[in-house]
Amino acid sequence: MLRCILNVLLREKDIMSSRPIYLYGTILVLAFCAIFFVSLMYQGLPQRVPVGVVDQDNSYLSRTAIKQMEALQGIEISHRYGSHHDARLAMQRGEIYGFIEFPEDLYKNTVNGLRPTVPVYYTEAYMIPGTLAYKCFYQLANVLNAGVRRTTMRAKGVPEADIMPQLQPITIDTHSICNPWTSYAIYLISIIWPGILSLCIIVMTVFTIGFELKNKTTPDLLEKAGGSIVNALVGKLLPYFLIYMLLGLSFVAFAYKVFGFPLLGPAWVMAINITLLILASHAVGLFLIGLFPVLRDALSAASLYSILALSMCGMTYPVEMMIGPMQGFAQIFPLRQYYLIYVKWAMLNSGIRDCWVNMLGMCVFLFLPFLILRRLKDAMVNLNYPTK
Amino acid sequence: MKKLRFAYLKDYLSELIGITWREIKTIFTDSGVLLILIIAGVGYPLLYSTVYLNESVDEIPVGIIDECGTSYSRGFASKIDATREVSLTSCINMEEAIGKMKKREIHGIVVIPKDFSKDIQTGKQTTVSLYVNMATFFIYKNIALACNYVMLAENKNISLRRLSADGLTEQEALQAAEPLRNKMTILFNEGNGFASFFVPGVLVLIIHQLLFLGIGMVSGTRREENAIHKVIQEGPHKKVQRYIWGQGFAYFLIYLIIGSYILILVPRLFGLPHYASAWDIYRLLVPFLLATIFFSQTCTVFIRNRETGMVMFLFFSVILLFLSGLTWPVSSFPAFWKWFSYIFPGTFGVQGYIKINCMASDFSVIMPEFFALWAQAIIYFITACFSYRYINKA
Repeated sequence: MLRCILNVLLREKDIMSSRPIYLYGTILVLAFCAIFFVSLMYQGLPQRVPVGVVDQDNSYLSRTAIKQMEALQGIEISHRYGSHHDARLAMQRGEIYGFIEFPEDLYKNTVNGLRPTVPVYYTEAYMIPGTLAYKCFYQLANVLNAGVRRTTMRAKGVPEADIMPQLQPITIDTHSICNPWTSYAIYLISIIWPGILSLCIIVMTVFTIGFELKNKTTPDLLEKAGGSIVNALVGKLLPYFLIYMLLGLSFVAFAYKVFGFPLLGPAWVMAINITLLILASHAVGLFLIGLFPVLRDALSAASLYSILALSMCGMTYPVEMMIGPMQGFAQIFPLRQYYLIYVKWAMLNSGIRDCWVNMLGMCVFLFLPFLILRRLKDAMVNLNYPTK
Repeated sequence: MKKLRFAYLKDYLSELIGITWREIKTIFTDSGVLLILIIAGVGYPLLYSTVYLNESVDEIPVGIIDECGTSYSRGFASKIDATREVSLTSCINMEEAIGKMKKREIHGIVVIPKDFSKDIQTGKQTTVSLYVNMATFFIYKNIALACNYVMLAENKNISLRRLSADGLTEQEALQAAEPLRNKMTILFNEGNGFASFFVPGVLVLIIHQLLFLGIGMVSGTRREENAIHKVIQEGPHKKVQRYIWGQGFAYFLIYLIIGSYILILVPRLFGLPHYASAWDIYRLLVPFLLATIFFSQTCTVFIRNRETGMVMFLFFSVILLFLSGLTWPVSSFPAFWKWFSYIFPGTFGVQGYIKINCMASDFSVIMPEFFALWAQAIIYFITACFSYRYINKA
C-alpha cells in the first residue's frame, strides 16, 4: 500500500512541476493575500479619516474647537468649506466622511445662554470611516460642552477635583476582549486569510482531480495506485495537504506568536483548528468533484460555494441575525465552524466543553468523501462523463 | 467610391453580427458558461441580498451584572435594555456571564459597580464597565453605541437634577448642563443598515467577476482547442479588432440586460438604496461593461485552459472588494495599493455606483469615475488587440 502511495506521489510531483498553476494556486495566492492584507491595514484602525469643517462663526470658540479637532488621532481636517452645500458635495465626491458646522453667532449665542446647535454630519454609506468620524465628533462635542461648562464652574469657584464628576458623572470603560486596540486588522485577518486558504484548497482539490478526469489520465493514476481509489486520492492530495498545512501553521505561528494577536485560550487550539479547516476543505473539494465528475461543472460549483463562505461565516454580519433558512445554510461551510472554534475556544478559552459541537461539525465534513467514493471511482475507470 | 465604402460597411457589419451571434450561441450552449454568466448572474444578487435581509442588528443579547442592586441602577440598566440594539439578560456574577459568553448566549457584559448609586448621590464619578468581543464587527459596534448613548443621556439627566436641586429653573439648568446642543445626523444610509452599506458594492463586483470568469472560460476553451485563431481568421479580413468587437458586443448585450436587473431591479426588490435614475445608471453601466469586457479579453493571454481562469482569479474577488474602498477607506490606502486599484474597472464601478445610487449624487459628481472607466475601456481595447494578436500568432 505504501509503495502504491509513493508511486502516486512521484507521479504527482511530475504533474505539479509541469505547470505553473500548481505553484500559483498553492503558495503564490496565499502569500500575495497575506502581504496584501498586512500592508493594506498595517495601521490597525484607519488613522486620520478625512473630515471637513464649515466655520461660519470664525470666533474664539469655533477656532478652539478646530484646534481640538486637529489634536484627535482618528480624524484629520482635510478641507474647509464655505457652506453646508459644498461640504455635502465633497462628501458625495468621497473627499470626506463627515463634517461639522459652526453656525453664525455660535459664540455670541453660547455666551448669552441661547444653547445654539452645532450640527455634525457623517455618512454610513462607508461604514468604517463613517463610524470612526462619528466617534471622534461625539468626543469633540462632549469636550466642547465640557469646556464651556468648566469655564463657568471655575468662575463660580467649584473646586477643581469636583469638576470632572460634575461634567461626567458616569463613564463607560470599554474592554474589547482579545483586541484591546480595537484593531480592524486583527479582527479581519484572523478570519479572512483562513477563508481564502479554504477557498484555494476547495478549488485546487477539484481542479487537480478534475483535470485528470478531463485528460483521461485517471486509469493511469489508478494503475499506479494498485487499483485502490483510497491510495490514489491519498497519494494525489498528500502533497497539497502538506503545502497547505505548512502555510496554515505558519499563519498561526505568525499571527498568534510573532505578531501576538491576543488570545485568552491556548494558541495550539488554532493549530488544531486550522488543521481541521484544511482537512474539511479538502473533503468538501473531493465531495464536489465526486458529485459532478466533470471538471467545469465541479469547478463552477466549487467557486460559487467557496466564495460565499466568507459572508456566511458571520464575521461581519452575525449569522444569528440572519433569517432562519440562512442560519441553517451557514452550517454547510467549514469556515463557519472555524470561526466559532476561534471565538469560543481560542479567544474566550471556553475549553472543549462549549466547543465539541463545532469540532464534531468539522469532522462531519471529513465523512463527505466516503459518500462519493464509488461514484468517483466509476468515473475514473469508465470515463463516462463529458470532458468539456 | 461611395458605393464601395457602403459595401465595405455592409460587409463589416454582417461579419460583426456573425461573430456576435456565434458568441451568443456559445454562451447559451455551454452549460459551464451558462451557469457562471446567466444563472449566477441572476441568482447571486438574490442570494447576497437575502443573506443580509434583516439589515440591522437589533436586540443583541448582553449580560448585565448589577452589583449595586438599587432601584437607580436597575433604572439605568433598563434604559440600556430599552435601546433598539441591546437586550439585557441578568447574570449573578462574572463567572456566570463569562460562561454564557463562551456559549455565545450573550455577546457582551455590562458591569454596574457596587457603589454606583452612592457615588452619583455623593457627587463622585462612577465607572460602568463594558466587555465586548470584537469578533463580529457589527455586534461590537452596536453594543458600544447603545451603551454610550444611554450614558450620555443619563449624564445629562443627572446634571439637570443636580442643577435643579441647586435652585435653578429648568431653563437655567439646561443652559448650564448643555450650553451647546449637538445634533448628529447621518447623511446617506440613514438607517445604519448593513445591507444598504455592503450589498450595493457587492452587486457591482458580481457583474465584474462573473463577466471576467465567464469570458475567461470561453476564451480558455477556445485556446485549449486551438480554435481561437480559427475563429479570428474565419472572416475575410482576418482582423483581430473585429473579433474583439464582435465577441465583446455579445457580452455587452447580455450584460446590459443582466446589469439592469442587478443594478436597477434588485435594489428596488430588497429595499436597498436606489437614488439614481435608470438613465444615470445606464450612463455608468455602459463604460463599466465595456471596460470590464475589454479588460477580461486582455487577460485571456494568461488563461490557457478553460478552467485556469477560475482557479487563478477566484480569490481576487475578495481583494477587489477591499481595493474598491468600500470597507477600508481609500484615504488610508498605502500609495501602492491605491494605484494598483486603478487597474480594475471594479474600483471605479463600485465608487461611481455607490455615489449616485446610495449617496444621491448628481451625475456630475462622478465625472472622474466616468472618465476613468472610458479611459480604461479605450486602453483595454488596445491591450486586448495586442493580447489576441499574440495568442493568434502563438
